[in-house]
Order: sequence, then C-alpha cells, then structure tokens
Amino acid sequence: MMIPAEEAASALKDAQAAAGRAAQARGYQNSSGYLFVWGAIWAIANVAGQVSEHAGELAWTGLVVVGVVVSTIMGRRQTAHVGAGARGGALKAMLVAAAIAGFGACVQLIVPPLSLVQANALASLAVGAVYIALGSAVGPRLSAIGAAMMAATVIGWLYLRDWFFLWSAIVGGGGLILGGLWFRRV
Amino acid sequence: MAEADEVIHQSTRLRLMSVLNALPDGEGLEFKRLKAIAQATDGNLGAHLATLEKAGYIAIDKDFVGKRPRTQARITKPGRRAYERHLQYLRDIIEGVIPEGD
Repeated sequence: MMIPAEEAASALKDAQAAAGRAAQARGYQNSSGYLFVWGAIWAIANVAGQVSEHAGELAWTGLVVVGVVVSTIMGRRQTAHVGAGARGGALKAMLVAAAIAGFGACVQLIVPPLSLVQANALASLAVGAVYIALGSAVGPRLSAIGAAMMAATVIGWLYLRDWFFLWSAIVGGGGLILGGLWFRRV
Repeated sequence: MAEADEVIHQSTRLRLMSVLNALPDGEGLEFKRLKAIAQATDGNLGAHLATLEKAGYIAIDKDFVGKRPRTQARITKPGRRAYERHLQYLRDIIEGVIPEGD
C-alpha cells in the first residue's frame, strides 16, 4: 500500500478531529445529567424563594444537599464505567464546587449581610462564570450556557427585581434543563 | 516497524475507528450518533461497519432499551491495536521513518 506523506498527514488530521469530536460528545453526554439535576433544583428552590425568603432558604439548604448527593452518585457511576481518567475529573469537579463555596463564604465576609435575592444573583453569576471557564475543557456549549445564565441574571436584576426568583426559576432552571437536552444532541 | 492497514485507511472507516477508539473499553455508540460524530456522509455506513466487523476490529451489539431495539458499534481490543498501529504508520511516514510510498 503506497501512501504519500501529504495523504498521511491529511488522514492523521482527520482521525484526530474525529477523536476530538467523540471526546467532546462524550463530555456533553456525561454533563447533561448534572444540568437536569441542578436545573430542577434551581427551579424548585427559586419558586420557593418567590413564595417567601424563609421558604427559599429552607429549599436551597435541603436541595443543595440532595444535589450534591445525586451528583456524587452520578459521578461514581461514570467513574466506575470509565476508570482512572474520570477519577481525576471527579476531583476537579469537587475542587470547582469547593471554589464556589469558598467564593460565597468570602463574599459574606467582605460585603454587608446579603439578602437572599442578592445572594441568589451573585451565586448565579458565579456559576455562570464557572460554566464559561469549564467550557474550555468540556466544549463551547457549556460556555454558551454560562454566558446565557449571566446575561439572564443581569436582566432579571435590572428589570425584574420583584420577580427575580420566579425569573431565575424559569430562565435559570429551565435554561439548565434545556441545556441538558442540548448536550444530548450530537 | 508499523504497517499500513488497508481496512482502516479508507477515510470513512478511519473516522469511524477514531470515534470508537475515543470511547472507554466496552462502551458503544448507536449508529445514528456514530454517523453524526464521525461526520460520515457516505451512504454505505452499514457496509463500512460490516467490513470493520469482518476484520474483527469492531463488534455490533443488539439489545433493547425498554421496547425500543438498539444497535451499537464498539471497538474490540484487536481493533484498538490495529488502529494504533495504523496511526503510528501514518506518523512514521510524516516523520520520514518510512520512506514515502512504501
């Protein structure tokens, strides 16, 4: 079989591109479940927050624990399936979660006590920024979801402050769930 | 020295193998998804998969998800080895380890 160097280079480039698309599609597939879970939590907790601040605080406290447990189980299932490479990924995910929690704690130290709506808006912006950053590893769709989340948060804060929680439930929670569906498309 | 693999070198089959090789051991892809990720525009996807299966490079698994039948392709261990050998062969040509056209 005679293969000129030019054809070999083209074939190799083609193979690498296909492998890259496969890895990206797999990353989207693995991430979609987390978007469904956190989208549902986002929607439920924000609807509770619209009813009353106390209900919102209770809902967030309980649902974040549920979310962390469910996410850990999902991560373990993926890890069991794919082995050592994903264990590094799970550790990175935990570091990201710790960074968000640390950011929240530092904000509470530095600025005056935040109302639930302020804390909610800041958390939405922080999560959006993290998604934009993670998009560089997972794929541009995650960055797009992060950017949309940040934009929706700013719009809600500026124009719909009285209905901010409901806005966050529909646009933030719904957006995350739609993002999960988008991730399942090739 | 690495050798060319005529079964894998055909452009659609090379892309199909590249996609399946990127998956963990034992994990398969449904045909529709495989075709989309591989960007296989060739209408003979089934024929290419049959060629790869006949060579022992991939396995076709059929099962049911609920009541819906599902057909998946996954790479085999010999398939991974053959794919890596062929990619090494391509690299060797580019780096001049193997003279062009050999």
